[in-house]
Amino acid sequence: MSQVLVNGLFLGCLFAVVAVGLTLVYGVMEVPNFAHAGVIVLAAYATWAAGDAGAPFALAALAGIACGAVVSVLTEVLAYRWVVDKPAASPAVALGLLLILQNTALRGYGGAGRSLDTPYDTVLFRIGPVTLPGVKVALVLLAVLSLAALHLLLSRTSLGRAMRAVAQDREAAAMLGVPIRRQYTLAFLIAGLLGGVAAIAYAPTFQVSPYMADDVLLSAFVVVVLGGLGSVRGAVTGALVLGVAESLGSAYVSSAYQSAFGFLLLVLVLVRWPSGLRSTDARRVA
Amino acid sequence: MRSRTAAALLAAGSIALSTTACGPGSGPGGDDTKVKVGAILSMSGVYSTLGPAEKNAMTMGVEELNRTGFTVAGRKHTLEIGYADDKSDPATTGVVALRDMTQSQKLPVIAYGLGSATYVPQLRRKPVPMINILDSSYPSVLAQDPHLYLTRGGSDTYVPGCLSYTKQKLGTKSIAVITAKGEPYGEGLTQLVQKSAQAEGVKVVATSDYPLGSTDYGNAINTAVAAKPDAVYLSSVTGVILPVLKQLRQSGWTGPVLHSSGVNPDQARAILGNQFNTLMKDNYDCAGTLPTTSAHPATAAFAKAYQERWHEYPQDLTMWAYDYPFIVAAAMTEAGSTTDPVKIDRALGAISIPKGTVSGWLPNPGDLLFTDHGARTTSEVTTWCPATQTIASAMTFDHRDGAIVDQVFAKDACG
Repeated sequence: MSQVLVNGLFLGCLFAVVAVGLTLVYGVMEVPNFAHAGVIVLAAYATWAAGDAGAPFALAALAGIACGAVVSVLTEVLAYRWVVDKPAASPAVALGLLLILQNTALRGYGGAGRSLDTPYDTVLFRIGPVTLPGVKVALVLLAVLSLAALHLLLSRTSLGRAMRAVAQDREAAAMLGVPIRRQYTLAFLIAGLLGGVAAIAYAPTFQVSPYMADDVLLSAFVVVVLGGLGSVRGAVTGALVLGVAESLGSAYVSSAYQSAFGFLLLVLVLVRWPSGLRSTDARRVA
Repeated sequence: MRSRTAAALLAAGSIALSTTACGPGSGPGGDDTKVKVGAILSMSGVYSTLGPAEKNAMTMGVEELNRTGFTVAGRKHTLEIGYADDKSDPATTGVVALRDMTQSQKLPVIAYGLGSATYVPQLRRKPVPMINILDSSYPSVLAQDPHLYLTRGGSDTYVPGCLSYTKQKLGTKSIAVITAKGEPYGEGLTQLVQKSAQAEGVKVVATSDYPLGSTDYGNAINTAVAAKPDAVYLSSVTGVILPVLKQLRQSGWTGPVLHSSGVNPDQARAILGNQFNTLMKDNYDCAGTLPTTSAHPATAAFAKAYQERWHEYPQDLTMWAYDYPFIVAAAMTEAGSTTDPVKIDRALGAISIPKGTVSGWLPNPGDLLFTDHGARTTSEVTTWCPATQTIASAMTFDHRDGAIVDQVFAKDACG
């Protein structure tokens, strides 16, 4: 049971890092950012390429996170910005961007999977009957640190307050002098940084490939809806709930339907709370 | 206005990039003696460990065949292959490619790796012979449609050897099986492992699954390892099982790992990373005979040439892919036609093992290449050798009438 819960925690942390990036962008710009999976992919490839070129892992990881931030901001500047007043167009743009980013990786690196090596690949902790692989412990630590940093940014800085103001009421925030476009860019920058963190935390447990983030993105969208669209706290809560639910379902029903348990949970939650677990009347990013 | 221009440029760029990335390949050749056939391969996606190697081998086969060309109805021809990437998704991308090849380009023969069932409706609309160079799924893909041919033995010819070997040489009494749910090859392997384990008196103490496409296998691994098996069998292809192997080793499992994926050292290095030699330790692969371990001189020569040319270790499927052009040429010669799929289909059932091929097929009754649309090859268990960081043959065998025959054990596989 304890190992099952620990697995759920691992999954939940991964979902949280990806989902918070999605919900942040949705909260500020109301865009379902499918391209986030492509950002994760390119960040993972950047990390792999830097490592392959001989850079130490820490440096390669920073390069990957920076790449995630740059690519994410580029998606906003080059694409989303132009359809911000056309909500019907944004899902199509998002899917198009995802294809572009994935095909960029495919053209650049080929379709075969590649390993992202870390200094903690072979580390294994054992606490009683529970085993904790080093790569998954690193995933949890990175998730906790990055989400704590995000919380501080959103709640303790003027940048965060401005972003929350835009999320609550774009027009009112603009009238109060909040630079709206800068908030859009900032939201994508933060989402990209989180995407980069997700890439370096998650790729070592799996592999780097053009489609490596598809499955995770799907679960992250479940989390976003589960937690309440635009709610960062809801996304973290939803991620942990989903991770544990998938893990319990896998252990006690069948691991073959791991993802299905997430969707079942989503349906059950939406029947009871149509706006998600942490809904309020206003959109928000905190 | 500027924003519209930028949007238009972006859209045009997107379309150009996507179409170049997704394009099905070159158009028909202008030379009237050049015959074009098709190949739908998994160049990207979860099965992308297969397609590029198949294409490399086919390229070599075409070049070798075209040195002398082949004669059909008294006229000399050369061969060209048009390639399409099914993106490891035959049901959508693969079917679109097949429709394009058979209905638009009117190609008379198609090679492919995966997705037989998904191609059947299209084959019923537009029948063409399709030569499978890879898929040894159980139950056999040949049951799906009479236009399918298979250039190798089914997985029922090599999985029993896996259990036999591990019982005899590793003393395995119990086994856990981890399967990629929704992946036909892996699901077939699991059925065969269960049957073979029963026949060998090996107990299957746990079976667990993970959904194909998932990236975290922790729950499936826990179920398998918690049963304390002597060995773990991973059911699926290389691109799917290597990440599972990585997480299995990361979870602390140090015992034997069995599979039938045909993983080669280059793939192990690429997918498992710097720790590949440690992760691959105590690893046994039961599949078709490999070019590098084959005793057949033509196969060994092909293995050497392939490695020199592409700087990668040739998988078993490279032999069959290399031979595809020769099979097509022999069938067209026999049929007296380069364009009629019906005649070529009929001829495929009548040809003997074509000259120039390297797969080392076992002869079928009547010296035919295909019996009931299937060709036969020997099977092999390979083991990972940490000292040399490569694989070596541990046992070769054949499978006839439900029994393992002609077992030959290597005295010291890793030497």
